[in-house]
Amino acid sequence: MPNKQAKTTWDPAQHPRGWAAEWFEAPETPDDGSYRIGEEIRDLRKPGPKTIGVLGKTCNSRIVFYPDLQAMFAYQDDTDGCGADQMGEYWANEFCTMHMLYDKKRKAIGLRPAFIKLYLSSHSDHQFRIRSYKPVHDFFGKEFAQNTDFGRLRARVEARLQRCTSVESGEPVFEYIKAACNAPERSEHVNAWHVLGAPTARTTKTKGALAEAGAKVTVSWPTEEEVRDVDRKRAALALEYDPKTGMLYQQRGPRYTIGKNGAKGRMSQLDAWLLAVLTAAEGSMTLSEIVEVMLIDHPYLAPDHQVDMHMESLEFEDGTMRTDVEMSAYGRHVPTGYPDSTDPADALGFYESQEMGTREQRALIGIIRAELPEEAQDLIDVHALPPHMLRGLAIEIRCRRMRTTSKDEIIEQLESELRESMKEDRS
Amino acid sequence: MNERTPAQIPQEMLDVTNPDYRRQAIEAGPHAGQLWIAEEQDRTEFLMIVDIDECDPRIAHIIPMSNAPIEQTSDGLVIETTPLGMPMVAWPSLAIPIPIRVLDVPLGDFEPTVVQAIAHNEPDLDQRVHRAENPDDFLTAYAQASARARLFQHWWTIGKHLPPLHQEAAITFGVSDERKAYAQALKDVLGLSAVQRNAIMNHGMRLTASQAKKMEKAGFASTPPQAQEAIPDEYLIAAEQPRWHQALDDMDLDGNDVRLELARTAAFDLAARTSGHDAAAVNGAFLKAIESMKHGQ
Amino acid sequence: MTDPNAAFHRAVDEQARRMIELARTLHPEFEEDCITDPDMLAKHWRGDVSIRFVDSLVDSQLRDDAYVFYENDGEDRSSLNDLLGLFSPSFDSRHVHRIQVQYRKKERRDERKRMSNDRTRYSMRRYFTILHELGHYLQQTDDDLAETLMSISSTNYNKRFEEGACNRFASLSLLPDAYMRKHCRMLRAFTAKNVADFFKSDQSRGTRRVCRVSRQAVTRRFADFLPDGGYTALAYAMGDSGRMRIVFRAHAGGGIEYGPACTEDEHNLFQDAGRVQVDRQTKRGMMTMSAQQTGKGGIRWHIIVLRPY
Repeated sequence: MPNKQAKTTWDPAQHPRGWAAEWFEAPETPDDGSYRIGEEIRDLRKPGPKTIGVLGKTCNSRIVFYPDLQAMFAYQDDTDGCGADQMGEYWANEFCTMHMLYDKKRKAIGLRPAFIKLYLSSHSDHQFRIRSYKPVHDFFGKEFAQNTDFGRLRARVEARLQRCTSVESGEPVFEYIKAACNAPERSEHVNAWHVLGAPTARTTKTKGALAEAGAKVTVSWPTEEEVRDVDRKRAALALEYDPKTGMLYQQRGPRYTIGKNGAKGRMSQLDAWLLAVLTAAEGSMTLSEIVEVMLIDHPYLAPDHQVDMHMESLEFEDGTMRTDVEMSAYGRHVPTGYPDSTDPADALGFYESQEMGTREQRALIGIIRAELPEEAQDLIDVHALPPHMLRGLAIEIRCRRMRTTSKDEIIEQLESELRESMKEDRS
Repeated sequence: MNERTPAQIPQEMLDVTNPDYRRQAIEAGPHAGQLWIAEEQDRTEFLMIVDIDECDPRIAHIIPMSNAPIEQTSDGLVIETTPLGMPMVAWPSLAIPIPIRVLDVPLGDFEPTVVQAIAHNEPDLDQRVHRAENPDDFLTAYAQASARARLFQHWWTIGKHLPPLHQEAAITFGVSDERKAYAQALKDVLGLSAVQRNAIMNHGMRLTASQAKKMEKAGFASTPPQAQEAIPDEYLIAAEQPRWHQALDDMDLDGNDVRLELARTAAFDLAARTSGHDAAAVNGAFLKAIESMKHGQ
Repeated sequence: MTDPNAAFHRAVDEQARRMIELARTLHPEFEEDCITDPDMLAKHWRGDVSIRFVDSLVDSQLRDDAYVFYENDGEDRSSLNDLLGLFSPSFDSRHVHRIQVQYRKKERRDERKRMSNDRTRYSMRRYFTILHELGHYLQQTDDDLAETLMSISSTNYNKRFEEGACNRFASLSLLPDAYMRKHCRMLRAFTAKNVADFFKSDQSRGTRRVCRVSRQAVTRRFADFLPDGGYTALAYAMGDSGRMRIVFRAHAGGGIEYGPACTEDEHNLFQDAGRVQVDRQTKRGMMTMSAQQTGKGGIRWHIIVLRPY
């Protein structure tokens, strides 16, 4: 088992942090308007040393928000003794080129669309560098969520928090909110979880104390052996490439179970543990914080993750602000706002003003809102979509939820609900 | 997987990133069937031009696209044959008119049959165009689609607020008694020469403080009465062309204001001494106008 | 589309004729200079305005705040880097008014090669340019002429007016009414052939007339002698395609259309064109097209005249 203390090949304290720092950093790419990176990519028909050099710097500056990915690099067999530059280049290559396992070897199968878009849309090296931040950040978010133990565990816990309902009332047990975090120069909101009805302010308890509260609940935790066994089996599965979606995915493999399911009329053990921890918190906690509490007593569930015993503050030690804290939803796309137009006619979006969109849109939005978990509602700007797409979304949500019902039935049911809803709207 | 996808840029993409192609396409301006990247404040999106608006050539009817197949949603179309040599997704449901000023990078032309299939939302064009499917992570795909839709609607809003065309039709040739009187006063009150008076009346020269005082004492304003002004259509249209996109985005002015100012300067302040207003003349005037605006900043 | 503004064209014509009158008053030799050797204008007018020939206007310091004349007449596609004339007014008595005319590259070479007895024929555009800029000088320095400029109610027309008057002034100076009447006896009933012949003969009107006037200027000028509804046009054949492109149509009464599409009548006439003049009765009048004339660069020109019935 690798030492929990990761090999320190990269010291975050040495590196400027925060979005703002990036912009003001002395540019290594001179802004003379030339696009040598573009020329290099054309000449070689793929990224070359110049491209990787610049992207490597971007990767290094973004990866500080994902210590798990830094650790992933450190633990690879062929990266012993590699310095920060090489780590940046490694991730830059991962960003530019998609790979898959073929005959137990990694093969390059194509250039990543996000890289292609970055290359095509930039006019200068400087612009390429500036515009590389967002797609690299998104890439790391996806990598983290899909390819790190911590990311996968986090996704599991999130799914439980979303689905857990009270056995008596059938109402959700936990609520997802924006909790205010006040820092000296600005106040931010973090996305946090709390027990429905409990205080929403951030918890003041320590993770250690919460781990103790959780330890009081009986949970059949998997053993270290079981977890390692599952890891071995997963590693043996080849990655598949789906040319239709351009996605690499792993075939569904074995999972270890966390706790037993609840007998009739009782919560599952994992749900009970979550309830105990969040009740003891007497406030809200971020998803990462909850998972870290779990790792205090069961570190082998995500061995590459270092638990920070302190609650996440919004600041680093040197006073600069963190921006990764749950606000960016770890790589999921978050819609940004646009300047408001003062013309009232603009308030009606283009797609709303088409057809008899408005009523149908309202009805569909209502249905979608009722189905979607809170966090997903934040991510999808439903008012921007035309009725046709809203319809597709509603159908998909229902199909995923009602796996035993046929799609035709689901569509019919949806149409009938819409008709009812629009009739009411009229009256 | 039966075939290896080479991790390199396809020949088609090399063709459309050729500097000669780009130069020629920017000169020629946007037309139907083209693939472009539109950009505003570092936000970039692919799109296909269905057509340029008949009544207002500053507006293009477009369909948003993406080069990432994983972003597809079930209402979209997957296009196998594209000018990039890589598959793309199109969203006919999101078809929308936008101002051509946001167009930034031309990337070649779709085949005419593919253009029709996308424009009419018709899949099954012998495997080149087929209906998309929701991916596993459909929530992310719809989140991206909604952000895309929001951005394109923001651009649509910009297009709704362009200055109206055909302003010149309202202007007729005539004499302004007010201006005549003011010009006369510049001579009688201030004793200015013809050249000086003309510069003040027609070329924006300002009165000095003491001159202004004298005029005010004589019952006249410190600036001459405004002449009517209507920017000719060809200048309003030229100001919106993608060829000025990069240069104008550098200027830290509101998009509408800077283009209007550019059109005004090109039409009036400069060598609009042309016997014709063809494209070469207008573009020449614009080049100079941008230069002078840059130096003025 | 014809410019519907008859009042505008009349006003431009009136201004130009007043400018001619003023020029002749200031310098009695003006009329003669224009017809014979406009280079003499620089000499005769140097007390009023400095006229200089320069290699390049692009680098001129005065470029930014002065008036620039730039003509695109279809014969040679000018770009802004091919500035031809600049008028820079002086706002005080310490400085002179200045006109600068740029040499075209070939001219400069010819100037150097010129022998003292030879009169080198300069480009037609050069004389038009000198006179056009002189037109700016007159309009902006003379009280009465300037007053007209300052009273126009719209910026659109103000610019157009001043430019139009400069062009008209140049045209009337290089081809005065008397000169036209003297060298074209068919002025009341001319056809395209007459226009073409006038141009050809003007090119070689003895050593006294150094100045040559362009085919464009001649064609435009003849329109002044047509009744309302008539026009003259200048066109050229497009390669071997059997198609023709119209550079401009100059209408009686003053309007000019640049680069219009061919009418059916014009197109049909072109199909019959060749080594002699051809004509055709149209709804609007009698249309004639001159025989092909080969110009600089091998361009094959045709002149068209539509004379209303």
